[in-house]
Amino acid sequence: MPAVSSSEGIRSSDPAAIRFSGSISSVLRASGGLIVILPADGIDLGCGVDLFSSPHLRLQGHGLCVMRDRGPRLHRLGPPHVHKRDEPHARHCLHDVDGRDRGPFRHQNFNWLGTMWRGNIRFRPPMLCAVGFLSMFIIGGLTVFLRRDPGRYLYHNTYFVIGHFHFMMVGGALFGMFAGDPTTGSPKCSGA
Amino acid sequence: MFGRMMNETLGRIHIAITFVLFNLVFYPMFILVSRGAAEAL
Repeated sequence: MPAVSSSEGIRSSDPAAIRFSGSISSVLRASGGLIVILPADGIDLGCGVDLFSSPHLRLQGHGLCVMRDRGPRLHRLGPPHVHKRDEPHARHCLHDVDGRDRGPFRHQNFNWLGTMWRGNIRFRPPMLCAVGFLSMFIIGGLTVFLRRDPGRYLYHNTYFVIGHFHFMMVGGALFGMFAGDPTTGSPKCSGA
Repeated sequence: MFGRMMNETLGRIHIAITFVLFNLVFYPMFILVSRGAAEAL
């Protein structure tokens, strides 16, 4: 199958185009802001290839992820609620960003779950990482309501923010690295 | 990279330990704040 690398390939209705242009290159191209989540593509590397027995669901879910992820809103993916609202520039940042730009992550959770749904799942370490990633990422996503105005005033500078941050980052980055690198990823990458 | 695969059993144990201990560390933060802990250090 052809590997599509142009940006038009992602919008194509061809599932192969979505699949082969979708996993890493489009995310790289679309945003530098999503770079922290990139190791989670290791989950795709370790599980998606040989563990999911429902390729249609996988293609559909991943394609949706990719398409919902693209766009100008990606540069606002930073965590403004981590800053203190007393700082002038951070105050501007807080009021500039509303909760709506978390939409892609919300859809992504459903897409990932839909990808696993009725799949022939074998719980090898990458898949365990994927499940851990999903559960923690959902908890982190549920606590993102601190981005709304009442939440900002209630929760700023508390451990709630720290917990939310670590659930997002450990779920998104650390488990992704565990899934992709030590057990399956590096042998596949290096050809060993 | 070195022509060998890592031990999957150890990988499973590692993931389980990581998951459990991570939740033990960070999930109580939500409970703390919801019960009134004011500010982080």
